Amino acid sequence: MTEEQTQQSSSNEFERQPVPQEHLLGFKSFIGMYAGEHCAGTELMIGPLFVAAGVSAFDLIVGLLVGNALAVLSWMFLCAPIATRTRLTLYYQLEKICGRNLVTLYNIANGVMFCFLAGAMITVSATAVGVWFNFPMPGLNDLMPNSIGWVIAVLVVGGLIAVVAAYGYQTVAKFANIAAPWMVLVFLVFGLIGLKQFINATGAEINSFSDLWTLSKTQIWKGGAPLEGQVKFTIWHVAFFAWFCNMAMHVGMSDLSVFRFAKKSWYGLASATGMYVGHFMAWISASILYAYQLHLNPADTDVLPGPLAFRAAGLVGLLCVIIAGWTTANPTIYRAGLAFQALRPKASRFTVTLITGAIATIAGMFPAIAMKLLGFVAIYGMLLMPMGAVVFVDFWLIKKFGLQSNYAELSGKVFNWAAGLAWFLTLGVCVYFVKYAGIQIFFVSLPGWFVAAALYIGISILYQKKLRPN
Amino acid sequence: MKKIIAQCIALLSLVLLIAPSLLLLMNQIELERVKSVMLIATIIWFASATVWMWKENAS
Repeated sequence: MTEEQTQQSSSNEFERQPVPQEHLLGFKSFIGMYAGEHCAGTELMIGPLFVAAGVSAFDLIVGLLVGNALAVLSWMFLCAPIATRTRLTLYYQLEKICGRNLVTLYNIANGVMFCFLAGAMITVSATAVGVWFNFPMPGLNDLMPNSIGWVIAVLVVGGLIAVVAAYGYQTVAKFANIAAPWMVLVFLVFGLIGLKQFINATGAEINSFSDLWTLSKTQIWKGGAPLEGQVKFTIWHVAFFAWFCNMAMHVGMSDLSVFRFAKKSWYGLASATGMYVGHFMAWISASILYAYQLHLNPADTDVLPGPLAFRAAGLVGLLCVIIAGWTTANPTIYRAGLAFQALRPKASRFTVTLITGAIATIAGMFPAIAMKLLGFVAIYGMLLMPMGAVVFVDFWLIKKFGLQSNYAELSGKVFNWAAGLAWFLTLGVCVYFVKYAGIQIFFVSLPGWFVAAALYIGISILYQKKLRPN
Repeated sequence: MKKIIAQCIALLSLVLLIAPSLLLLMNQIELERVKSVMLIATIIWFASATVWMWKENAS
């Protein structure tokens, strides 16, 4: 064992070596982790945005059932099987395939997207502050900060989150674990109270499931035209969104780093807890709250989790919004910091996390990210998806074409152009599809994955032939 | 023993958190009462769950 490996082993992170057998985890560890991680502050934005997109009851329920099932299958059959065979982090796996410089570029892209995502979570938490101090908050179509009060609220919330993440990431992570079961139930309560408010407001008699379904499709998720400035969502939009909103993690292979600890690849099934608690129940609950707000006043289209939660559950609702935003922004800022630290390994973790938090806070001031979260999440998945295709092809297929897997490691290259071009050209093709072929951003990543896989094989045939070491 | 008691109290607080909203659906309680009970349940949850979960997380 080299000195470097010894040092890494002692940290128990196994960042540059396979996870040893004795450190593998059981199925239960993954159930809790996924349930907590996917019940985040942003769920309180996504549910309402579905309603703003004019989704109907059937399209929402069936679309979510199907899309979340596809997401779970992606974890089970794309990500986990590679993770349990290599037992390496995505970053180390990518370094072997792509070379250090290309991984650095990937880290920058990943870090920037994490910053924006954390910004959206800070935005969510700041809407709770607005309930107390009653300053003007952003509307559904606002892209820029619209009041001094809003800017100060985001600054304070974001600043606190950044400082706490820099000083005590582990402490917040522990607090997040304690809050998770409570938060899941508060999300459920949002839905139950919202439903009761609808029943009272419409005078509906609910004596059977059929009555509930009638209320759902005629009052809650009525379908029809979307609100101004929003894209109309059909069952296909909902299913693809649910499937691809975590694309970076499953198809994009980011969760290789998680499932490398799994004893069996079928543990990917544990992701179902996150999908059906966070991306089914929580989205539905949050959407009911927003639909009720529109029912009371169709002109009030603002998607503000703070006021929505306060109306339903009072102080507990506000606490839930703040804690949901805070506990999920914390690891997101931390991960973004780790990604950026790869650029300057000697920089202190504290400074990098603080700077990352500052960037996320500035991003959080601009409501554009939160209000356009559906589109942002789709872009996030699309941006990192090609590297997932590269990892998949490199692991399962490339040797069948007489080529070398882990080519950068074998050849000593710091930038595998076959992987790099597959990434860049795929993104170019996807942008072309969206701009000129009329394919919406929510759907483009599916053909994009096949484009990336084909490009990586095709370019590798040329690249490895030219540069294959003797 | 302390841990078991804390676990029982924490579990009961979660029941207390969800039960009022179910009673609300059955017209057995007012919304304002639901909010008050939920706040009490929240305080109990964080107080009791911290006793056993904080140490478990640390290990």
